[in-house]
Amino acid sequence: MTSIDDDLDAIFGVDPRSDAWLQRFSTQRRYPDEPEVDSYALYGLRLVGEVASGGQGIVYRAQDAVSGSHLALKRLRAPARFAAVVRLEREILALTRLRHPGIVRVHDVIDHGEVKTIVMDWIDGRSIDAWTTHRVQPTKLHELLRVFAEVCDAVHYAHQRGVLHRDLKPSNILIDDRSDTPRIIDFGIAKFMDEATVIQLTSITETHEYCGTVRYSCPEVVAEGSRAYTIASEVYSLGVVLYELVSGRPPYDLGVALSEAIRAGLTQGFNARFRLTRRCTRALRDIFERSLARAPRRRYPTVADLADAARRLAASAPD
Amino acid sequence: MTEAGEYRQLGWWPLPAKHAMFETTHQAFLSRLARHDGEAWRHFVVVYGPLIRSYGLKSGLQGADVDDVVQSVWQSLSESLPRFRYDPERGRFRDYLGRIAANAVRRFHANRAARRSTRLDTDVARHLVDDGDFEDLFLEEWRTHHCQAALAALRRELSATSLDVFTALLEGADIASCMQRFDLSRDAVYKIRDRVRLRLEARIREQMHREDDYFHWA
Repeated sequence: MTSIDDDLDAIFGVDPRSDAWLQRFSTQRRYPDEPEVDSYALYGLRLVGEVASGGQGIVYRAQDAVSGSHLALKRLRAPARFAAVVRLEREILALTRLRHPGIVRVHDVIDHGEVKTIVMDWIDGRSIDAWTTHRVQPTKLHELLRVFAEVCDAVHYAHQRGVLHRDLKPSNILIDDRSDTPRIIDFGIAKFMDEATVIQLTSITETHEYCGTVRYSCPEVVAEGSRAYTIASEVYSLGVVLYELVSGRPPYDLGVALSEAIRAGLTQGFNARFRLTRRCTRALRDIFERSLARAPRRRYPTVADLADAARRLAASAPD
Repeated sequence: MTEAGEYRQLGWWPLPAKHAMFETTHQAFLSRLARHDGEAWRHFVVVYGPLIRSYGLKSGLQGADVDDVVQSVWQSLSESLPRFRYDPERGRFRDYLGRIAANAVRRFHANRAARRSTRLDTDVARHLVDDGDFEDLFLEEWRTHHCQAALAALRRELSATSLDVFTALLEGADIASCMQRFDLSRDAVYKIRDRVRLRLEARIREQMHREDDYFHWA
């Protein structure tokens, strides 16, 4: 729970030389402008419609006037909050260095001056958990493991390019309706492992506070914050995702409170609620033990190793 | 009338004597809200109404839509406040209020989306917009609301020169132009700025403590 001191730090900042706090007290506060939807025509994009709207962002579906392909436009409302701008910049930075069939692709970044719009793939699909539960035919274990291995491939590729996603969870893994292939989205809190980018981000925003989603975070990150985030943390998150997809429930009995999550993560281990089911073979249990181990050194060293294990099991799993 | 002017007129923090909200014990005040006491609710709406309204506007709503959301928040509060129990695990009063306000805005956006003709229910669209935005946005707005209230109260206490210099700084004037405009030394301008900052900080701290005290069901 944040304290009053945290609130005051958020208002006045920790740097006594900065005058940024004055903006909080300005009586000339502005409210969000209406999006200038016509401006996208200049970039050869025809808006099909607004598809989602949040506190800080708006998403449009658009069509490329030349190719006819559908695209998603994600933009901030103006004036945007600093944190939202940073999140978008971070996503742009991550996605423009990643080109992989398993990762949503950025086609363009439109700069409106105060705000930017990311032009990215439009995916007709659903999140991986909805995909497994809403299919006409039940998803077979080998099918699930094949798709999961492809997710791991994409995550491993990002790692090789120096990007840790930091928020891997079912809602950030979409399955394309047409091809049944996964796409990873939302790199808004990604962490960069190369020194140059880390320095660039550290100068403006990087903090070591906890970020991500507790339910999919490993114990060391929940307890120590984002400084503890490593490839082993992504192995753990993917382990939780697989566990949920297979068993239909989380590996821990987590409440909503962070403190509860820390307690559960540090004291229980995943075995506390784990039960062998018909679908859970010895090999599958081994995958859970190697990905959900409390000690990071006991997990798979890379996400590629987790992918290999999933593929081996998929090859031997019944149809 | 400017927003600051409205606050001044309302005398939000500290409330004038006629506003009994913070003169009674916190248990008594919460009990009155829970019993749907008209006077207690009027005070509550005076204090938190501008915050909810401003939050609605920042969440992308306009005009009558904001009014609908504000009404929806009061409705939810009147139903849930009688059951409100302070629980440190679940956060402070502002978190409770933020959840109710964010849910009202979320419901509004969901209903609006359902009325549109384009395909809106894809996971793609839902997840491209961060669902946590609404809670974060409320937190930002709540902090700004306390800032505006503290400033409105402090304006009555500052000397004319301090008020003029600080107003100029808020309007974007830099130190050099303040020196010239008010015939002050650099140190004097810095001193005014830093002194006002300290007083604002103290006042906001007091407001937040008071809010937590009054909505802390011991």
